[in-house]
Amino acid sequence: MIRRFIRISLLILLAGAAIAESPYEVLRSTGEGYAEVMPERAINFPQDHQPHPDYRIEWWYLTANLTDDRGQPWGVHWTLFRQSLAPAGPVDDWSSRQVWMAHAALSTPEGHVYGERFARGGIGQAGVAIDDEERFDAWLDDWQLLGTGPGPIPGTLSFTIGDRTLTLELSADTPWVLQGQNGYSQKSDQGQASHYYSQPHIRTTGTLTAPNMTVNLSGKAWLDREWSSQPLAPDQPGWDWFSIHLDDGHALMVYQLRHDEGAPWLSGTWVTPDGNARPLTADEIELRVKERTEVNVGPEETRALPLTWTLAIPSLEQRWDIRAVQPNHWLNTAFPYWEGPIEVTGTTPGMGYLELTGY
Amino acid sequence: MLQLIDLHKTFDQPTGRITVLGGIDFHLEAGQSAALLGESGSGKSTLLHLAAGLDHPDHGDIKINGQSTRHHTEADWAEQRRNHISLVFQQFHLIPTLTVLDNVRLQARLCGRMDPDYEHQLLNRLGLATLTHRLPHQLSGGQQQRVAIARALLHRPPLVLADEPTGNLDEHSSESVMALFVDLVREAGCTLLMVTHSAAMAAYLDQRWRLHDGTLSREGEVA
Amino acid sequence: MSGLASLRRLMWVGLTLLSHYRRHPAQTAFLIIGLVTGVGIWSAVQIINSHARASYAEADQVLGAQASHWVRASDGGGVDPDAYIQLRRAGFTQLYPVIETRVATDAGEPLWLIATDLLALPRSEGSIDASGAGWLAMIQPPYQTWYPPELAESLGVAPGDTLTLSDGRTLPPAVPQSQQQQGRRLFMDIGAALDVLDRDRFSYLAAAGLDADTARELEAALPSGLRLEPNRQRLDLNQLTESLHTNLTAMSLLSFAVGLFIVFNAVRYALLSRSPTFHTLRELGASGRQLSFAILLETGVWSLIGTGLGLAVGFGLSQVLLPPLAATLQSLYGAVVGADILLRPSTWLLAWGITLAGLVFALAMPLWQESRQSVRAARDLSDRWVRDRTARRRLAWVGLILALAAGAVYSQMTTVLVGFVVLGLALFAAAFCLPVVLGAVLGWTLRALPEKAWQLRWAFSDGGAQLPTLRIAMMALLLALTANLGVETLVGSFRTALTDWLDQRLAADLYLQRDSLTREELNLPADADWLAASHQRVGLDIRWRGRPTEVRGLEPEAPDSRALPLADSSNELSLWYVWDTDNPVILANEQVRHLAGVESGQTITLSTGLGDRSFEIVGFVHDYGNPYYQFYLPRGEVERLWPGRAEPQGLALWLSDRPDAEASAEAALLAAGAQAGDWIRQAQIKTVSLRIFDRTFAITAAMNGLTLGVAGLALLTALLAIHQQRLPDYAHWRSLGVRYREMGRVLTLPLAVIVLLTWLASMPLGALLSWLLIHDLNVLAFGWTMALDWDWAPAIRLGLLTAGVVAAALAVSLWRLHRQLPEALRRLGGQS
Repeated sequence: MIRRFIRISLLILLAGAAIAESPYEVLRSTGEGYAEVMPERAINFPQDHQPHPDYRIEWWYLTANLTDDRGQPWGVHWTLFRQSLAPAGPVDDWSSRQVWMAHAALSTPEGHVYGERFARGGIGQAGVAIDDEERFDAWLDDWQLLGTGPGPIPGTLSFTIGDRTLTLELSADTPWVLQGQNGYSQKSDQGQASHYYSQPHIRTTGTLTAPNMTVNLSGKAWLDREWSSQPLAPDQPGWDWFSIHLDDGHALMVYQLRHDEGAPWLSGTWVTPDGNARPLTADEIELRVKERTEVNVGPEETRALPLTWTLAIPSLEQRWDIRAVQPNHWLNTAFPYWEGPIEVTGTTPGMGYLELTGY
Repeated sequence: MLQLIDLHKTFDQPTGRITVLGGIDFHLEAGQSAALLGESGSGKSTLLHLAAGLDHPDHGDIKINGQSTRHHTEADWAEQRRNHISLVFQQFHLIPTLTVLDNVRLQARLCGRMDPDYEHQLLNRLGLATLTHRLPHQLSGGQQQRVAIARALLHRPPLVLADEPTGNLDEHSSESVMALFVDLVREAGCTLLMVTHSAAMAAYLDQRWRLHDGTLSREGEVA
Repeated sequence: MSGLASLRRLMWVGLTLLSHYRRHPAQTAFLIIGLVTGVGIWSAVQIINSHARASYAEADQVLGAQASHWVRASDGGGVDPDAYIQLRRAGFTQLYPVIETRVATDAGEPLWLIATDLLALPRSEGSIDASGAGWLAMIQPPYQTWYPPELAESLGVAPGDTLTLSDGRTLPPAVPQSQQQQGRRLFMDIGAALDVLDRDRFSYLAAAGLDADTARELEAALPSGLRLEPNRQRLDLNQLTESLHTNLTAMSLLSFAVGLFIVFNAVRYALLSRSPTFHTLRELGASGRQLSFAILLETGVWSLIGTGLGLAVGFGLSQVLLPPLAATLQSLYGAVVGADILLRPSTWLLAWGITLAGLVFALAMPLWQESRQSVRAARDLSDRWVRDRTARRRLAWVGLILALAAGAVYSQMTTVLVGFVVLGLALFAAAFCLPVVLGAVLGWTLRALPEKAWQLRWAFSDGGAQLPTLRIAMMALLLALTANLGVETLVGSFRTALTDWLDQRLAADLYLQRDSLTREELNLPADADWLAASHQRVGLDIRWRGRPTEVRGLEPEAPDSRALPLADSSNELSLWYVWDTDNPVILANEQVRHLAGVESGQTITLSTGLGDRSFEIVGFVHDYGNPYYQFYLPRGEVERLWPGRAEPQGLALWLSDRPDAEASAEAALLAAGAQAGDWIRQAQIKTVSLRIFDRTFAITAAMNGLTLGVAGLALLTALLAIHQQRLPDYAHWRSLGVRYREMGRVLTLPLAVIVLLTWLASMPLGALLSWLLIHDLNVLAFGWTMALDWDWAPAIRLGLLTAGVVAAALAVSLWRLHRQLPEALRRLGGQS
């Protein structure tokens, strides 16, 4: 039989030679030989916008809630992942052990399109670097987040999926928000953690062009930067992550890392309109699944995903109902997950993005 | 010349073992002729075949010219036939690719006893003189049998064994062929044992023997 | 009678007829052997051909991704990775880099290697398959080399082995695994290939599924020095390999025909020996129609058994024959043929169809005969022997008609297919005329023999009785011998021509293979005392008359240009050496003459970089093994007419007589930047070329051997059948006291004469066949001409082989005869 050509699979890519039970296995594998995430390590700008090849995994993660001229909701999600295949080794030529992956997704009023790309590191096809004009540059092929200075914001995101090309101008006035304790974000009580910072207050305008169509878009975006060598504990199958822009200018990030047994690991950050962050402890967060919805995850396959939630932060006297704007936002990529815009109603309404992994 | 001593022969049939010959004793002096009569299936052909060494008895001995054949191999029997025994079959058994003349001469050539004068005489007597260059399939049945007879007699073998030699011929041909055959055998001084089911044919010969239920008994002698 | 009852009756008739085969295992075996060998060899070739064609259909894919276009460097120097990255970053994500190259093991065995970047290979979104681990290790040092398992086996490479190349470089550890469209190539990561082969450029970029707009955009975006070419591989391959596949099909059909001869014999004999059964059944009330239907049913059963077993054998055989063929296709046409063979339903159906047709044909004649003769006649051998004379004459008439048809078609022969029709007609004409010749020679000899030689006369007359059964086997033997001789002569002539051609063409002592190292770059001193002469060829690929065509630029003063292997030339040949732009002349390879039908003195037009240019053809050059058209111009003209497109095609160096010339040459080459392995000695190229040649014809030799084997089987079955049929005759001879020795003589002598005559007949026929193959078919198929080089050795070898087969067959049948004779003697009086 003709063997089907082996499709690139993040599963194997991330998990090393062994075939893992789950694509997320790499996030749980021990970071032996890699740099370790330490609470005392300070985050420095702009250096930490650049890659950290001595850590196993890293990402530049942008989501945006946008509206067009007619007020219809749009969503954008663009991620660049970096992965080290080995703790040491060359970074800058064909023998590089750095591998890059990018996802781009566009949530339109009617549906969802996305793309996925891979590239090896070291050859210039993908990477994050400071370019000749001293600008921050994160790219894979022609997908690019290009800063105007050494940081990604202000900057321009551009990517193409099929025949649609998106260009977004990104700017922010508030400082970077260090998640967790000064950027040290603990993921379990077994020591798993990451370095994590965000820019939740990004103003965005841009255009989507497609044959016979140009759409002007504007709204708010959120950029996450995170790197680690072992972000997940062995008994954590996945996470539910929320980033919310509230209409009064506040921003909220909440995530829970689910455990095979027992209560999830909850964490969050409350960000004021001027960028001041207040970490939320687990006991301050009440996060509950309200309803599960059948979502298409393949041509013939559906899965029940929690797309309706209730969230309350009693200490802030806030309570929300959260609902996915559209259910069918499953990315059937090598590393499959659900990611899409959410609508938030309650004490203070807003919009945001939800990411569901490990389902 | 031919002596059969206590010959036994049985055949295994699906219906059980059949004793065809149950202790046959028989003696035929040189120059004598004998007819072997019997019902169809009585074993007369078997007896003839044993005498020719084409088949072998379960028990008993066959003496030819006083010599026992008990220890004869198949090859010994072949030599015996080559030099001493001629066979005449109902089906003639001519070699289809050889001419009449070559067929007639075959056995004489094999044993190296060619006799042109006798050959000439035989061919004339048997009415084959004008047919010598024909092939067997170009002859009638009677002619074919006459070729077989000529072949059997040309080298004047001591013993001639004939199995229904005229069985395939119509009544008229068979009578003339038979008369000629017996005459020629006598003239050549051969001993003849002939299987037949016809009393008329048997009448030409010196002795008549009947095989019945595996035993052989002689019928009335000619004075 | 109710339908059910009649069906039951039919079943009963059918089963009664079939029970024959249980009681006669030898006949059954021969029937099956005939069917299986015929169907087996035919289907093996069918499977291989359809497999190869399926591979061509995938030829517009590279390693599993569609490649509608290539991006190549105009100067042939390869694509700079920076240019590739630049194009990817410009959004041309359809591009992926490929390194495709020929390397050689340290034993000189050529190997093809292909490498790509798996991460950049285009794939459809969302269709990701988690199977097939292992490539992760492949993209990281120490990397991996993927060997198709059967190639690894033939090279003796075990998993983990690191193969050393002729230049001393070592390939990454071996993994026996193969990739889609890997064929018989080694596969590795492109990073590994750059590293291991010490390269800094890709061979080309493949572009997956470019639409016309994107192709235009890409063309506009290409940096200078790169050009976009459409991938016409699939069309080209189908066109180029057509002749080869027709050749194979013809050979397989011949095997099928020979197999059919056995079947014909076996079926005829099976029917014949069942005549009594037929008559008994008739007497018991089975109607003629029922009998015919039962026989047809039996035919159906046999066709199914034959097809099933034949295909199984064919499948096995194709596995054995494919690797050498795949290697040939790779080296000759650059076609990638995978190792995994599929058995298609269409092959099943076709195999069944031809088996059934063959069986019906084999049955029809005997049945027809059966219906025309009485019971008595059917049992009487003498009658059969006489009737056979008529049959032989009839066959000869058919043979004559076939021969006339062959002559008529020959004059109209314009395609390979028609050529094979002529060949088939001629062969079968000869085969059909053979029996009458055999009969006549036996008859004349018989008549010429003196009266006294009665045993000889008997023997020769017995030949007549053997002939009816032997003649089919002899026809099969004649076909097999003729085909063998013809093809052996073709291969031998080809080998001689190739050797001479190589001697003429490869006149230089050293050949520098690395295209990037030209004479100019090497900067060889003109007065180097080790160097007698040099020749830097250049070339480029164009299309002419719809086919890929090579233009080569030669230096007219170079020693090998002075002594080109000319097949034919006009008086104006000298004009080529003293170039005059007003009177442009050109040399072409023979393929241009024979495949494109252009004659010396005619004018052809090539599209050059400066527009269309016309040239007068002044000569044709032998160019064996090349499937492409090739034109030769002086190098300066090529560089002038196709500015920037002519790529270096290797540098030939003639060494001086100095004793240390070779050492000096090597030192100079190393000093100039060449690496060990970049150059190759003349003798080594010749050895490798001849090795490729021999492997190319390995499949031919195998098929030839098989055909002869089948003919041997036909002979064996015929002899066994004769002796079985004639057992009563032999018993009768024995009853006359004929000795075994004499019987042996009578039986063997005519057989020996018949086989000898057949062998003798095969020689002129073999010569005729090889003449047709060399003078017509080869020219039509490949456009190569050569001299017929008749050699007695194959004829003698075949004669001895045939004698051996006959002796073995005779020994077997005499042994059987010896065992069965006592029983036959017992039955002599009663049964017949």
